[in-house]
Amino acid sequence: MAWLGSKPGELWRRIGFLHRQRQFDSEMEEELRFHAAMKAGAYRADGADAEEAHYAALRRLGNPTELRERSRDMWGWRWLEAFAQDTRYAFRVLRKSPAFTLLAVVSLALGIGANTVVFSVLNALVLKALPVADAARVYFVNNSGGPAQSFPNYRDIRDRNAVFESLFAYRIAMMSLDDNGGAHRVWGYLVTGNYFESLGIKPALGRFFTPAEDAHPNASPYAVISYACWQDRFGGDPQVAGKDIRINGHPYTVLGVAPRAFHGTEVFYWSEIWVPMTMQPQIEGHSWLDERNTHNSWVAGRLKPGVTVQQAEANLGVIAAQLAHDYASNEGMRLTLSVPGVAGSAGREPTRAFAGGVMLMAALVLLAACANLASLLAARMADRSRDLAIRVSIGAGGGRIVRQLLTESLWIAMLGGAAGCALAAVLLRLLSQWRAPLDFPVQFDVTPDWRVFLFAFAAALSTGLLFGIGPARHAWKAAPALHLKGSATPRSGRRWAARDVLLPVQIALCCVLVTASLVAVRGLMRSFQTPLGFRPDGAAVIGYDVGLAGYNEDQGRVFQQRALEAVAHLPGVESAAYSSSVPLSIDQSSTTVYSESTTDFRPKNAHSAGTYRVAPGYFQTAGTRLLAGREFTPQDKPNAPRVAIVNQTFARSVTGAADAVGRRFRLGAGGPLYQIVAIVEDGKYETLTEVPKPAVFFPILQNYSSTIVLMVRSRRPESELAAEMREAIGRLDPHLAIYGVGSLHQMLGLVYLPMHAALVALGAFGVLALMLSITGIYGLAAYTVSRRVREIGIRVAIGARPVQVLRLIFARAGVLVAAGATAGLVLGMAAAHVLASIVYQASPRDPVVIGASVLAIAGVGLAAALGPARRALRIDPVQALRHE
Amino acid sequence: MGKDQARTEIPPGTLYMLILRSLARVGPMHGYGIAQHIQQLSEDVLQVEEGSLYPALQRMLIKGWVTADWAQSENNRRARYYRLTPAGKKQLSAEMSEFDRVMRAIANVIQPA
Repeated sequence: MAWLGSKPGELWRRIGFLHRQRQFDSEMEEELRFHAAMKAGAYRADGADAEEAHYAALRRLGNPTELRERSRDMWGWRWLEAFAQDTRYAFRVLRKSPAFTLLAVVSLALGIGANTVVFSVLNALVLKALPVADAARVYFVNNSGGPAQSFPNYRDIRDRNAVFESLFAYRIAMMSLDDNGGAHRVWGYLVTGNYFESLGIKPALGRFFTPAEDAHPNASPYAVISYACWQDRFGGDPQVAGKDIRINGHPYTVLGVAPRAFHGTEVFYWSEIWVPMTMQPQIEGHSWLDERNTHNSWVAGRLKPGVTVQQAEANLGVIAAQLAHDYASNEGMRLTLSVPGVAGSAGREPTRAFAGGVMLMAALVLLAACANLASLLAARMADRSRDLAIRVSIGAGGGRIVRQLLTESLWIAMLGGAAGCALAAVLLRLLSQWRAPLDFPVQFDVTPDWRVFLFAFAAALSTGLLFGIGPARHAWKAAPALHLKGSATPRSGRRWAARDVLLPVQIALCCVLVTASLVAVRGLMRSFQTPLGFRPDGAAVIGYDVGLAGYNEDQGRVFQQRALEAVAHLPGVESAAYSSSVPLSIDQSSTTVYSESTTDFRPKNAHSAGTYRVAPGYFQTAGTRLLAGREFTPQDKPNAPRVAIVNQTFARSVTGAADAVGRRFRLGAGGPLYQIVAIVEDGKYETLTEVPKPAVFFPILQNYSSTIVLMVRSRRPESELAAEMREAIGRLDPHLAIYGVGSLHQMLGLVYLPMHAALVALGAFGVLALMLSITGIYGLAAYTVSRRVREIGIRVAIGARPVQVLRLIFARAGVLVAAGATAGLVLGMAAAHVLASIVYQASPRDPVVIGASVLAIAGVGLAAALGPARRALRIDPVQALRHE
Repeated sequence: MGKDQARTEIPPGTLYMLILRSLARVGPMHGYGIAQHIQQLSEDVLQVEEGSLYPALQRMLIKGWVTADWAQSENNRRARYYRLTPAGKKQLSAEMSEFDRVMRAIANVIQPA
């Protein structure tokens, strides 16, 4: 390819040549004929006779074919011709052994397909930039403890910084959207007025709101809707901009529609609606926009051109120090930047670790597939030595043979890669359309882009090289020997060496994968048995927010009592209660408490506790054990003494005593004192993997909440009850937007999502690994039998018993498999430590896992060897001796 | 026929220049004509090998120094005529000045002191 550096015009002429190759040959021939004729004419003029002149001219011209070839080579396509020739030959060879070709292509397709899917997910979650203008300059601002900032702090950071072109705040918010066709509960964002212009996106329709339209509290009743919302809820109405809608019962105007690809500034969360931040009091019922202690907004912004992350963080560091100095609640404040998309670095790091871990597993699958193919190819090479010998003896050099063999494996890889890509495309399409069965718009846009296809191509190319290079190298070394012998089936001990390593490597890799997926499965099974601090089985729930339907507090209290009575009288209900939220659901809030004796209210003396507002009978209904004290009663009313129920961790850490009933604590800095009336068992509140956390429950009658989860406990199926509850609530108020109807288990879906994902991914890899082990062992065993048919025949003829025959064939394979499995098991247990970060309670030292892995590999080995073994035992000595 | 014995190799690197110069002087010519032309002007000292001539012509086509068209020749046979392009003219003058420079240098070295 000497022409790689040629100029554009030259390149075009060279490419044009490809279209007229045949014409070139005939023209060249004619030109040379003309030349010979002219030359002959000249010789005749010199006095030679016609025939003599003719031959002299031809002699003078030399070999016309060679001359034509040399002229043709000038165009620089020689390599392509050779490649085309190699390709034709490769396909002929592959067609001749369809079983091998199918096995190779399918196992590669599975390996490459799995990798492409995983890479595509990784790409979507971590690599792909948000669909906004110049996304490389948009950064998320993390707070010390997590992603959220208080709104007053946001305002100060926005006004004091010198590095951001613009800084915006946003918050995930739930709203009731009434499009004149009934109220629907939708998920959206509250965003500052500069949100859209900072992101630099263009509306699909209408316009976005501006900073001027986000200036005064509750004065900007504007909304921007997502493309999907526009299509689904407004039927793609081209007049939607300017349309009046109601949000939480208040009139709003739709200004425009966001572009189709834009779902908000978080990758997982697909927003339907954007409302100015100053409408927060109206949307959420209580305002925190001026509370410096309430960390409720996420902050991101666009850096000025040329500002580096280091410069920006230095500037933010100065501001953080000022803010920490000015306000006690900001003590220890640190501001850092991260790529936006997954709740700042708090979500991005685990997501990346998770995706990276799964990617590693996927790579192991592909590696196992490569080892598998390499050993199959090596086995085939022995059969092809005669063919190669002939090629060598008619003049093919080592390089030519190697190129030929590599072309063959590259084509296998390309076929496997194409099939894998098709497989991945189907799976990714399904995954993109899949919506997690959650009361939350979790969706992944994993549509493959150029990166994914580039990845798949690179994966296919490198696997092709990886599994092709061994046999090709072997052929290179053997070529001179083959040449000397003319035809031979050399049987040196060395030949087996490569395969002796390949099989155990492959088994070890598969063993790692099987162990890892079993660890994940066990971890998941156990996490379902983790004590949650409440019993979801038999509990049905329904959620709604009367505030979204425009109820004030008095109306809300009346409604909640009526709703409770309505569901409590449904058939089969044992107990019923309501609360502001339930542990492990999406809606979690926490509060700051101090011990009674604390007078210094700085953050170091504060305790953060998960907080819930619950009605009388909640603990009985939720199945939470009361360790001491009493449940709330209807007497814990607004004017009654302030009381609370706390969990064991709260009791220990805040009051310092396990038996804390009767003790008091303070809610908020300088806030009121509450008396503890009961202790409940510890539970899980935000994630299944968390360490025990303090939690506090207040009587909902003393602390009104418009957001309600109504729960009943019954022996009847949860789905049946849930449907009846929906009906009962619907009778009370048909306009109330209801969500999260179903079993309590369903409401907890989000906390189980990462584990479900891990289970599916690792389970699939485990199955793939087992399939690859089967093909690998089968390939080797079948090959061994077919190579030694003659020998087995002789041995049977002189009286070998079946056991001896089997030992002859499988002793070696058995040792190899056992060695690989042992190594794999050890590695798998080491790898399981990595898994422990993904899968809760994944313990590598679980005897069940080890036992199951050993059983699985042994079973696979037996299954794979069964066919070849039967074939070996059926060998008829007479026929065997005629073999070959 | 006897002329062939006095054949001299064309100095390496000058074949393109000779071809280009011939085309510039005479106009469009076929391969045989080019070879004849060089041989005649050099008074039979320079003999163009067919084995070098045709690959060289192909290379010049790629480079865009010449174009080729089929036309009726003087003895009524179809022949491929090569024609100089503007790029070819530029290449010719570049090669000629380079050749001049080298020749002068050689002359300086070998002239008696």
